[in-house]
Amino acid sequence: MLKRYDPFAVLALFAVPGAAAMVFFYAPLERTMGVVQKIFYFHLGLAAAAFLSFFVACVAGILYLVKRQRAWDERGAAAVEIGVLFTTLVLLTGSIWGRPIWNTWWTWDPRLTTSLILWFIFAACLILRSAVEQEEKRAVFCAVMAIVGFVDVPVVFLSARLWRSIHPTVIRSEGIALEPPMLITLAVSLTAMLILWAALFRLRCNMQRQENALLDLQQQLQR
Amino acid sequence: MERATYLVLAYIIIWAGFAGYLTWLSGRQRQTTRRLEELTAQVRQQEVQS
Repeated sequence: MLKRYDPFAVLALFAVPGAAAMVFFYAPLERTMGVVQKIFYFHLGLAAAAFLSFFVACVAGILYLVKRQRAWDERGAAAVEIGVLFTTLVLLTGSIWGRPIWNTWWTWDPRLTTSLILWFIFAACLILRSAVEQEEKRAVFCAVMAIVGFVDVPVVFLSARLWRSIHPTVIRSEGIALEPPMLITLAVSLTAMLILWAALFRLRCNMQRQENALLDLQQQLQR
Repeated sequence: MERATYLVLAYIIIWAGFAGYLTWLSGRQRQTTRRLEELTAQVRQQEVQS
């Protein structure tokens, strides 16, 4: 019976609640931030999955422009959509963490600002996809936008180091500044989020393929 | 607000976000299935007519 289900979806069903349990019951309390620091484990996992999404969208965009195969457009569409979802959650969880720590829901910090720009770029990509009717034109526009938009990803990652930022940086050139139990929890949360990303990505790609096949069939019947 | 409230709020938003997305996907899948059924019926009708 398990054969009917995507292996990543089955894995995610165990990995995500497992990671949440580790965050709440295993990870120790951070001395200065207290319990609110536990937001960070999923916040970072979500951010990593969002970056992966935009990387996949960029690669799919390049491959679509080179090969002109519909499958790459489908993958790009799926990656952008999931990336926007993950980035939205990153921004929201970050804002909730910022309220008790920085005493504000939002500040125009370089990391936050570049992340918001990233969200706007890929949200615009989603709008563009629904706005252009002609399939090939739409695919080319979205591919170009995904490639150009990906430029912002390294900027987001490096923003806290390049400019004066109050955003904490966990991954530094000297290593990861975390206690071992915190590091284990982070690794599990990160893995869980990437598994969930893979499950959603595969699901969305399959749906996109079905929708396109249906559209083809409809057009054939109309002729 | 207590600090724990922020933590709970953050995790509620994460789960609500994923649940909302999955609900939207399931609605979209239902729509595709309905369109496929309509198309199958249309093809059958064309076959009968021909």
